[in-house]
Amino acid sequence: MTAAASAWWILFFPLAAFLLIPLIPEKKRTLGGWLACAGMFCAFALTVKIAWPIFEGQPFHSFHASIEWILIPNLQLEFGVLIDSLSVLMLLVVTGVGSAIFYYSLEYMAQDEGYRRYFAGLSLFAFSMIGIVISANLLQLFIFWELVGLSSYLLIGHWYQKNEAADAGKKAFLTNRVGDFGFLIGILLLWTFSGAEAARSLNFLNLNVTIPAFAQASASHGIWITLAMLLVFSGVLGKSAQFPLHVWLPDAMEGPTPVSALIHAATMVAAGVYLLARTFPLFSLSPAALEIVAYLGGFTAIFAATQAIVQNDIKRILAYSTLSQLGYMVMAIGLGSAAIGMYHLTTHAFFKALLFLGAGSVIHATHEQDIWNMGGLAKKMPVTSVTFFIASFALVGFWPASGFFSKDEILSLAFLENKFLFWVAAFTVFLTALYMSRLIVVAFLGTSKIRKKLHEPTQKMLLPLAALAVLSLIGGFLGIQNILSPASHSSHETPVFVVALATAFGILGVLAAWFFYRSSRKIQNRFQTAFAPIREILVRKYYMDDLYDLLLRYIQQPFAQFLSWFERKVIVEGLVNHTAAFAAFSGFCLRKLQTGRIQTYLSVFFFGVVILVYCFTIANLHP
Amino acid sequence: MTLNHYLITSGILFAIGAFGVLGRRNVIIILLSIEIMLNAANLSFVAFASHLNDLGGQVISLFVIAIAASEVAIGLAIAVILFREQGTLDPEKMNLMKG
Repeated sequence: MTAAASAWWILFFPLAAFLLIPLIPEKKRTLGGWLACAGMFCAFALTVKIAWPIFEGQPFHSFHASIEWILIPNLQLEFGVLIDSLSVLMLLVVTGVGSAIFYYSLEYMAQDEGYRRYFAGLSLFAFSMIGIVISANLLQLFIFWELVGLSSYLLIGHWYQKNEAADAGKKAFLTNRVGDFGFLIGILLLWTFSGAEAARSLNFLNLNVTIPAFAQASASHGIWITLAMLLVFSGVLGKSAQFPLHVWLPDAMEGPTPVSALIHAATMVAAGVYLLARTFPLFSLSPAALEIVAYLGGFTAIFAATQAIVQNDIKRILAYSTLSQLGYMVMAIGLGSAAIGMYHLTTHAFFKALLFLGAGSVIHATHEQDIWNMGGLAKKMPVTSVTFFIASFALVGFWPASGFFSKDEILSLAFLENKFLFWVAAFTVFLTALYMSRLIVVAFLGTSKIRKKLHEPTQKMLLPLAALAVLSLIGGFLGIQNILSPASHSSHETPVFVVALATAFGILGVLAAWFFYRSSRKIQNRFQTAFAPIREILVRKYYMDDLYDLLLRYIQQPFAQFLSWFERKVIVEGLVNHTAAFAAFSGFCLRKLQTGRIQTYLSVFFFGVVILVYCFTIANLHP
Repeated sequence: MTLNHYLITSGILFAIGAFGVLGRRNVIIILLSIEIMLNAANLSFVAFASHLNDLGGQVISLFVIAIAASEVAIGLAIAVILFREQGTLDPEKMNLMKG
């Protein structure tokens, strides 16, 4: 099998699983789960096969294969695969972390009523996500991008009987639509820039040549490139949940926990970052666009981290943490290094998936999501707790866990490029340490508030936890950063100052949380009343939901009502009804002619014949 | 007897038939009038055939006679059914199609 054929097969396996699972009868439902797992494992195995040269330390030869799809003048569109080191890295993350989470779901969802629906949705998601990663052109990527949005909607609303879940699904879908609308316009703009009319193409390899040529053709083209790239970035804002389109991600935690782990932490929300990395050659043409990307990423990082401190739901804390970490990745790419952003994406996928799966184990055992109702989990669920600690360790970025390496790359990049963003990012490390330690101190340490007997989950759930824990721990030593940029790593040394500062901030955050949340209730209360106004702002999520509510209620809704009025009164009553009335009136007049008497008709007929004969003969004879 | 005599006779016959169709109040008379019109056409066909030495006109008139025969057969059958259904043969009363 050639490498290109394997790439097609990677896409095919999850799709086949998705199509076959609904055919399985409810009595044999476990087969559906195993089928989904089999599809994912096969995809993972093929990915490893393609990526084998990388594991052997050889340079990876990228390749591109395609079949013609839509051929119309001005647009040659193909359905293709583009496998380079970037997509191989992303494929490894998606299928690798995906396999672990699929396997974990077998046990987690075993009692669920919608078991087959769940695994069918998960397979559809895997298919769409792999489609994004291997897409060879922007439009194909956009199609899979929308499919990912759909499967995310289906999985968030898995427990659709619950109103919150159904609403969260809608919110996620609609928020993404806003971003994707801009993305589509951005794609169309890029298409118009891509060379002469006859030879336009949205293929990435072509765009990387034609768009720079367009930019160099005239000085005034720069502003157009900036506009197009910012529109593409609006798609990233939606999918990767960056400010101001971040509002859907915390609500998306209404879905099953493995879904949160796979889609809303490790892979789908990383699709935006992947798109940034994929189109980075185009972004780098516009320094202004990159600067906006960097600042929005940095802002989201600190903005979300502050909100994570006051959340009480274990999954929501992790959701805000995801927002914050995605902000880091977007910032890194905005500062000019797609490789570093992708590096953090990879390590983050390991430890964030692990955190969510750990939270899933806790929820599975306790049926409780409020951290204040947990406590003392470390003693009762030692394996889950240890893996959770390892993941938190990596998230905060302590040596030697994987997060240390990727985060320090980002920090030192920021240190060199933009001092302001460096301090923002460094302070976010402190906040990260603070909220993770708060979570651990409150939920895992101290005295237990749960009466019933807790137990560790079974082997099926512990195995993925262990695998991800190992990856989170040693991810920094695997040479992931060399896959994308073999040379850059050695070119600049991480400043010792940066490492020391980040670690110091991390320890500071841990100590603050440790002393505060282990102190007596009285001190905590006094502190909380002192900071009540700030706390209120954070709990209300900086009033972002209220702001959107106002926007919808006072701008979008009146506008929609005006359109509805316009449609009903002007279009339907004015145009449609009046057209019908005119037809009815003319019919009313004309029907008088229909006497129903054959002789009347015949008279008209003869009279007509006489006129015709006159016109054709006599009038012509004597002009 | 020139061609004109035949044609004028044919024209007069056609006009008689037309007025019969338009004016009479009995379906059977109307059918007869249609026959007269058809025969007026036949007369001019035959006249032209003889004048131009072309048998085509005579052939067409034979066709017309055949069609007239079948038309009368169907027309009379319709008249019988009309009389059974409506009790009259007055076309003024047959206004079911009135708009």
